[in-house]
Amino acid sequence: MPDVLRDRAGVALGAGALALIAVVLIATGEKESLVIGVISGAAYGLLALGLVLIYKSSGVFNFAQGEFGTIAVYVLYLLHFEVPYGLALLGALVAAVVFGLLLERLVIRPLYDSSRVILLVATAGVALLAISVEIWFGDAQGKTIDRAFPTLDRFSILGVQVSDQRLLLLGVLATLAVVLALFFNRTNLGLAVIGASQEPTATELVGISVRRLSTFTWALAALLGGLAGVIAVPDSGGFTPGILTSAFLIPAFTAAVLGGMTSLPGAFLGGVIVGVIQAVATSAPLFDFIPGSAGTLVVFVVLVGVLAIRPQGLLGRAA
Amino acid sequence: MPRRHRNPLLALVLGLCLVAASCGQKSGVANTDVAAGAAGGGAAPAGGAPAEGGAAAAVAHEPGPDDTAGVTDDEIVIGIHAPVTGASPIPQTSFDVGKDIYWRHLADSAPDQLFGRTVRVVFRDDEFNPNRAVAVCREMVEAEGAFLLIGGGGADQITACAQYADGIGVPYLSAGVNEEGLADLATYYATSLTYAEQAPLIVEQIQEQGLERIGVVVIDTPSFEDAHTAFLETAEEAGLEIVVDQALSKTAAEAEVLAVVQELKGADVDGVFLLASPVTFIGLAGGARNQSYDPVWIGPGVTSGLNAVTNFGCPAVENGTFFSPFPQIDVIEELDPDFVPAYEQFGEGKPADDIGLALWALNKTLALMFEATGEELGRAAFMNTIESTEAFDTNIYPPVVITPEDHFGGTGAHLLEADCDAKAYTTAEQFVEGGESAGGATGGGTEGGATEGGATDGGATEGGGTEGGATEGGATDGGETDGGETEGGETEGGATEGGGTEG
Amino acid sequence: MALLEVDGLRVGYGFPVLMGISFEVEEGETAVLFGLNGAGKTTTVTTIAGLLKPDAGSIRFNGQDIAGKRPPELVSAGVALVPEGRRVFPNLTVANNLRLGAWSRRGNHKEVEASRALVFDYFPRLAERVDQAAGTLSGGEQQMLAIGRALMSKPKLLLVDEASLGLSPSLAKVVFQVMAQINEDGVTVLIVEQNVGVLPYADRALIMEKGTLIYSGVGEEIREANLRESYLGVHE
Repeated sequence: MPDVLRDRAGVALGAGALALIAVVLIATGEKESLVIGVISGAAYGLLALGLVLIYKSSGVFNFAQGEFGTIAVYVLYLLHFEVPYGLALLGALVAAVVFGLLLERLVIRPLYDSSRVILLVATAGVALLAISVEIWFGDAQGKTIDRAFPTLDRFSILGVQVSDQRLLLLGVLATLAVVLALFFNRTNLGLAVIGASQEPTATELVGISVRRLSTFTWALAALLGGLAGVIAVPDSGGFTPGILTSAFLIPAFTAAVLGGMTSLPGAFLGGVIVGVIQAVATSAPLFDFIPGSAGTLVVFVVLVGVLAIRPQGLLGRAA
Repeated sequence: MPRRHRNPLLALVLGLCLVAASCGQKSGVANTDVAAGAAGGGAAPAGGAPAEGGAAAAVAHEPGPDDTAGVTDDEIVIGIHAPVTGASPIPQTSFDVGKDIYWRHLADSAPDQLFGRTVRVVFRDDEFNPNRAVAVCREMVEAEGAFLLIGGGGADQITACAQYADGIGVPYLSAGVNEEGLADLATYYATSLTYAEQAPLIVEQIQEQGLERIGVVVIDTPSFEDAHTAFLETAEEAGLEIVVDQALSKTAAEAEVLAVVQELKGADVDGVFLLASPVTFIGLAGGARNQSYDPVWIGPGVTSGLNAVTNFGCPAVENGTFFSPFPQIDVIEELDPDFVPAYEQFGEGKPADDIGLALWALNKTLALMFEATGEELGRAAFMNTIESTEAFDTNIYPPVVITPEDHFGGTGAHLLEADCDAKAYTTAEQFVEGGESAGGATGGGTEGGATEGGATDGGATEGGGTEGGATEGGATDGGETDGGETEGGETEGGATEGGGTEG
Repeated sequence: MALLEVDGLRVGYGFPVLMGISFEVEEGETAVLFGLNGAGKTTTVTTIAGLLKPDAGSIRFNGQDIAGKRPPELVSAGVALVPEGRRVFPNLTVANNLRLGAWSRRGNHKEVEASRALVFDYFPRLAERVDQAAGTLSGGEQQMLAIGRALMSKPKLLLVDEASLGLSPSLAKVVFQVMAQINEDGVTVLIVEQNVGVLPYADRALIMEKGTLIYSGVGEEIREANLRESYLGVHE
């Protein structure tokens, strides 16, 4: 099956699963959970897109993905006192990309020939370093930041208010998922990134510089992480050092795995599914038998279950 | 190659589970199972100890080999741990400056009060992580030679470190948090009401505010179970309608927080009893605000009432109402006129803040305890002294009354309300008296909850600032009347006692 | 001037593998590099293709010193390697494998299209499987795809490492015939082989043993029986 068709079949499968979940939730009176899952799952999905991108291109699970977002949030916070919000947003995204490029150049590239486990640990180290810098810089104090769009109650669905900022998040995520899917299936550069993930030697042999591709990929992933941070965080209360790592990274990882680790639309769907599971497990009477907070537990059970039964994820490829 | 694909990912997931567990709420308090021997099913409070002789609390402390560790002719070393990073950060600069100010003030104004000794405070960040807390406590005792340890905030960290301190005979003091896991420790002392003891105050406040549909949101940690149960029972007795009772993970993801908000909103809850970290509180309040839903958030606490929360959480936390061991900075001038001038003199340019106030009050209490112990300061003497002194009254904390049977020394609390215009908490009521442990959760032991120190009248008194603050008498009452058996008359304790198992 | 001139080439991986070999390949030839496993054949062609850096010696291609240059430069200059083990992109379709093969000429759609048509001429089987993921092709088809992908860069010199490995004799023969066709169409070919079945198509034979070149010959002499017997251990 051609790449695009395989993706379409996968998307159809995922969307079908989601539609089924939606019907069940509405029928059982858990319709709010559906909306909550979608709006908070969108943030997971956006972070998961970056995880998938890095994984696709270099086989590394990037523990620093969340910190691309947190760094962007801190820069946005700093800049928005000084310059118009739009400009501050731009500056924040530039900062995230610069962070991504530095990480690639100073950590990933020197370790490129090491095992993936070493790279994984290296990215975890970078995340800890970034958090330390944020603590040093911000005195570990919680901070709040204005939304780009302040209106909260313009839009309400199934009894849940969806703020304008969330709509922006959903829009950005859906657009990115489609644009990136097209990018990877239709453009030479996108194909090269996938090619390099499968056969780096052959990629070099057809005349593509795998190192330049790596630079590009990390910059793009950092941009995605930055976007996740600057859109999601202002809408979710406040932030502290390492906010995207502590609050978003594990759900995002789950989302990426559910989606198949290599599928970009899968990451998007995975994010939404994780959000819905968390919301349902927290509020549905069905899970009341679980002592304490059921959300985290149920997500882990689903994650382990998917890995055991369908390791390639909902939309991933077995190859 | 699906197999090769699966195994690393599975391993990674399991690794993440381990990480989550080690940072999570259950760790570090795993050995808090102190219910053994308490027929009522709850943990035995200190007062329950004498019957079985299970706890050393009622026996006079004997000097151990390290009895005078941390004390020299001219210095006492004390160790404090608190979270300045992690999920419940307290401003580090406030801590760094505030931890010494009382002692510098004392050295300056009354150099002989501690028999020529000065106090050196060692501080460590516990990162809001119980394992880390134990590690830093060990470090403060073994490497820094701390004479005693103090927990600055965070129930799980306090519980974990207090258990460590008990194991090596080091005195440990903190503001009141949970009772589970702490009640049978010989060297642990709470200097203010525990969360469970604050239940009657909270219920009364809920009634006063006319809140009718009550939701309960409690972080899923064993440390909070006693307070959770105590609130539910007290609320039930008072006839409050609890319509939502929801646990939430300490590391709850956004979707979980929003689901809880939606549940509260869907049930038309107008008052939420909250037992959570400040970060969770802010997340909940922010989520509610996003839904144009503004219930009153009320609860016990040490850290939720800090101005760091209003700085960070306003405007969403506007409806926050919390009890606190110490008042807010707005009333300190009348309670302790020395505080602000001392900050001006020793604060290194940093303005006086509420963290500094909390540390000031704690250190002031300690100074009274050191003074009462006398020149021959050792750990056993120190503990014997504070257990036999009627009360320690700083006029900032409500009087602290500790007995051999009851190490939970709180007798009241201050009520704080968020004021988002000022981005600060204000002191709504001072010295609200109380101190009942409401339910079987804590009183299920042999003697029931009747041992709670200082509670003379069920916390109903609206202590006006000056009057309450000055009341040595109130504290004395409590101090004298505790001791268990004779206390059947206490409102909540009596009820518990009836249901509990006698010895 | 020969298209490829290798002079005193030394390569090692911490220990020496090529001990200083020298040979030439003329433009328009099909040269075959024989030798047993470990003789250094693959090291020779991967070094020419830029995947390994030589320790000493020179490699001149079209008169230019190319020793130590990276593959992207070499592909643009006209050197393409079909690596051992094919190394197709398994999750990409045949079409996309070919598309990546044309990376160095990606701006030039018409020429790329022409190259693609040519590849399908050589290997009609690939045209039938154009939308199939490369990983699902048979071994022979993957070999065809790997050669086709290399041809997409329109090389002047095509290096092929062990083209017949794992193929049935009849399939190997097909591959050799196509390579003869490619050579006829103007591409200089250097084939690394252990299969003497390629000899009928070769203009030049090189034989390696333990990192050195022990035989180099051209024309009819390489098809004589004693060469096969003395150097390659083949008896007929």
